[in-house]
Amino acid sequence: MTTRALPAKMILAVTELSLLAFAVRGIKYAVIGAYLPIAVAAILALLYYGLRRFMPHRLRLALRIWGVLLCVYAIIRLALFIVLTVDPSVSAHAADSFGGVAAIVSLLYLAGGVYLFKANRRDNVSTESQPDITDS
Amino acid sequence: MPSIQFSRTARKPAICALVTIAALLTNATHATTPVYATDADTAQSVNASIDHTARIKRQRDFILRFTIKDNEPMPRSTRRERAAAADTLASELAALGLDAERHGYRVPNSHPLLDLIAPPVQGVNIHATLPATTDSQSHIILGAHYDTVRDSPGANDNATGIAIVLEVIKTLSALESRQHHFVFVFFDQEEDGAPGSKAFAQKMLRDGVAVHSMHNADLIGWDGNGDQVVELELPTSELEALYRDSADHSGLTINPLVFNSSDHISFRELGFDAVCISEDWAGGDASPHYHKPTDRIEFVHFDYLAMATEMVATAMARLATTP
Repeated sequence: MTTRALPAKMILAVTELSLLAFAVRGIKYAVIGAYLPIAVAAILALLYYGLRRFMPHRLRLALRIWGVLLCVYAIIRLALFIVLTVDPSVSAHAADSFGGVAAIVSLLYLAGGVYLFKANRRDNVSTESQPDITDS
Repeated sequence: MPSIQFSRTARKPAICALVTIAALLTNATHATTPVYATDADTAQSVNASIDHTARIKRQRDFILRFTIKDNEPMPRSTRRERAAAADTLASELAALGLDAERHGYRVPNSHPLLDLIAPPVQGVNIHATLPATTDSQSHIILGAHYDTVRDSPGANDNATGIAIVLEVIKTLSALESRQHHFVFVFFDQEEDGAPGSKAFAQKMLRDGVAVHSMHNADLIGWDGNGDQVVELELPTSELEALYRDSADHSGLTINPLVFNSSDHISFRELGFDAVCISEDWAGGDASPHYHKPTDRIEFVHFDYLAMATEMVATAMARLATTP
């Protein structure tokens, strides 16, 4: 059982880290009077903890979808990095925001998204046979 | 209904009385608009104290050290470049005897969805205050942006605007009497949607600062056709009159127009009187080096810049001496 608990813990850790990143962004923006990021972070957190508490059998599907969304998010950021590297004159703020460090962060989001998607696949027998990840 | 009849002898005094009343009413109406100090005093004393050649040299020296370093053009677009420029401007203000303050700001992006993927917009405005010599609460703001677009040294856009502000500080500091506080501010990120001036205007509003008017100098070093026309954007009738008079003394012609761009708009949006002085953009005489890497010092028309400086200095000196 201990060998099976490890990936479940990993899945939860990756999910919660990604949600934490959105929560930190939300707080940063809430402080300066913009509330969309914190609203999004709050909705994601409510969905995640709600599913874990009340519909654990749906959690794997939800995390799979979250994995796809994280990939899309990362790809948009990476696309901006490429566009702004080719033509940085679009906006100085954007060019500063989507430089090398931001690209590395985007790759982390992408890796997290791919991991969540793959680890929660239905045909992933080893994952399917694990105890409910909410119990780990 | 009985009518009022004047006898022949009573007509003259009655007409005189009516004329007097009309004159008094006219004066009362005019008294609602401020009467700026006249040409004979402030403007002439200001202009007399100016050595035109020395001013051109000072402005040339400033633009040189602000836009070129080690023979390389010095853009002010990235965070690092802008931070270096902000330090230089703080030193320039200190050299003029003013305490430079940094107004750091952090604001949301222009579109809420961008907040989900990009960090907040942040920058630093540099400002300093030259206090009134009287017990006044009124503040006049004179500003110019210091950032540039990518890879452009921005000699015209907008080292020229900053050069004007620095010269006006010298003029106003020399005045014995100032009826207003003067706030000099160098805005960050005008080229990125003007969040710097928006944040500063909001700060003025939040702090309850009584702003008499805001004057913005942007892009004022090109006079390709030599017609010596200066644009005055969004002037109120009072400020237009002030600048027209000042331009007459400086040998310039004012072209007042509405053009919703640059940092003064941030102040207009919050209800402050604000104008922008710039080269004859709408008249088709804008610098061909605008927003290009070729916006270098050798393409700045310094004589025109010095005349525009004289005009702004005269206008500010008139405001300074008018309660």
